Amino acid sequence: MTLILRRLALAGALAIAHATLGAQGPEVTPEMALVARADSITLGEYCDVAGRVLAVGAVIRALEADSTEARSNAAIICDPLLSSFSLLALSGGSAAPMAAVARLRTEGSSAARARVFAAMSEFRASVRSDPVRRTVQDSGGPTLSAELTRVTETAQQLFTLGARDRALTRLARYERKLGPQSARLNLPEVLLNYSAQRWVPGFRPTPLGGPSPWEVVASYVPGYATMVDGHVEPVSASEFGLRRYLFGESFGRPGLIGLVLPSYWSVGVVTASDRNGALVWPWQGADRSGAFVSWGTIKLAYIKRDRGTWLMGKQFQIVPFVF
Amino acid sequence: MTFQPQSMFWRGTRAILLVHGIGDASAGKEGTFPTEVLDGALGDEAANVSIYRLNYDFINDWLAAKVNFQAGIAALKAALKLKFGDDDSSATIADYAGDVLWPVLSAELRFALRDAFLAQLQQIQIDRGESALERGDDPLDYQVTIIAHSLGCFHTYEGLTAAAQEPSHALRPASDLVTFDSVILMASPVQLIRTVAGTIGPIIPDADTLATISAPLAIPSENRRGRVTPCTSDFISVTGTHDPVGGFLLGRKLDWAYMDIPGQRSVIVPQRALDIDTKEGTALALAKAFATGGPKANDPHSWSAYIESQAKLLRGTVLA
Repeated sequence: MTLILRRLALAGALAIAHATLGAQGPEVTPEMALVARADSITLGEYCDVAGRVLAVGAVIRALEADSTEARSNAAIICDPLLSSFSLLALSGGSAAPMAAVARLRTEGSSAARARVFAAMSEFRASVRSDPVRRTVQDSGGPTLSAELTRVTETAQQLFTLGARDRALTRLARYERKLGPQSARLNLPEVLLNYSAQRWVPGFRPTPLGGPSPWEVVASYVPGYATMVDGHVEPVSASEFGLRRYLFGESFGRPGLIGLVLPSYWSVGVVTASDRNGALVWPWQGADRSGAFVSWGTIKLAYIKRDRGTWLMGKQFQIVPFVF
Repeated sequence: MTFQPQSMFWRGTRAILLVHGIGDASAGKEGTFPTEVLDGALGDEAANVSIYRLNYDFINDWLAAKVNFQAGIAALKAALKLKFGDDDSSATIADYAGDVLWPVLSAELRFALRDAFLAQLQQIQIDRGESALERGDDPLDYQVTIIAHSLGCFHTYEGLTAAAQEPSHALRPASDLVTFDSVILMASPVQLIRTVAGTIGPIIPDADTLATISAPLAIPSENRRGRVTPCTSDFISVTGTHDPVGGFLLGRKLDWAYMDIPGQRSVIVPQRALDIDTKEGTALALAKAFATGGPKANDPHSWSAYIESQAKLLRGTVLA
């Protein structure tokens, strides 16, 4: 849905740009030009061009063994139920045409559209590679060659645009997990997370999947606070648990809004000494354990001491890479 | 900062992607892109060549802030010195090998850098297509050259290998018809990383996803229906005779550090004028090269110097 809105906004911006005089309109970017053109070419046009190219005998001869597959791919492209779809609509970048909506619910599934795009990609690889490309130019004529270039390259450009968006989405997730809005790690956490990424399923990043949302928490936290007889007292504690990064586009905001839409939440076990104070060793004296949960940098913990104690804290490092 | 790949309509029919190496390539910093030198090398034609710059310093900054990576590099250097010993020239190289090796130690950093590289390549393909179609030209007649320096060669090698082999990137040379006019790697540490990584193999995460060490070095290619199509027909390695990052020390080629990929065009740049004749001199020159500030007179690793010295080669390949 976000993608559709974004592409519609791009197409709208381009329409405004064209309607505006001279250089006064917004600058047209290559992406805007692509989206506008992809919205003007239907699958039916692609099918028509493919059919005319494959009707040229010299092209079939140049394709050699690939000619059968090229014909098969052209047959997939020439899906009558999708012929009124623009290439942009097929890619999911804009709404389906009204006339196709009813069919969309039956035949125009995302799987069907993906199959058509795969066929277009294969068809292009066959007819646009050398020497077939030159044969189309020489035997099919410059007009047919230009039409073929226009439809095949537009479809491929949409493919590439989708791939770029996926790469940027992964990169944004890495930024969420490693960037300025992420939690800083201390040395034990660096080692534990390194180990988890190597040996624990679910922690490992993958080239196409991006980073894992999970991170191990193992820290000394001298910055909790609690209320004792109406007075605020600092509490030092240790935390062991898991942190999960929120990769949704809405999250990871800086500043005050980050309190509501943070980069991560965490949960785990907290241990504190029976003696309150900053920089107190958590296992000193009769230590007590409980649980903590955080929403972004704001943390809340409960420890079962004599009467039970609520702790509040904020995620930060006093000494970088230590605690 | 959220990464946005550079995008533009091309000025002519050619574009160059510059991928920087060690050091901060942000504007005004020591490792900044040598675009003026490149313009000078291309001469009058420079105005018709679109230049893209991939700056990935922000990703390095993420990890530097999140974990104490500098301490890790220092530990790695110490470990490498112990491993190589003080014989011959190896210890000199071990002293800075950590600088070029550290990306392999973080899978997240590596993948993030790869995605930035791929996103920029994909944007260049989109720009190429739109620039050509707008003029009624065929996008396949427009040319892209990649020029990488130092650590950027490693990221380029990794990125191009992923691009050539992974369908979802839409950048394969045969199936997606994405080929580069030339790929020029200047002072490539790819073989150096491959060798040194071999000595610390067990601690490298996801080693099977590292093209540099998981398979014999080869020009990134796609195997489509039994036919191997390389990502470029002109894969060029340029290195100086006094540049240990590129696998040379004191005029002597170090087989274990020099990248020698089958099919590559090798250019060795004589660096006698640098007046470096001892290991200590090399180490000092490199220290100055990698340090922020400081004189650069004898820098055997200078990207600008490589481009200046290879102006004829660049004109011949980029403008051919």
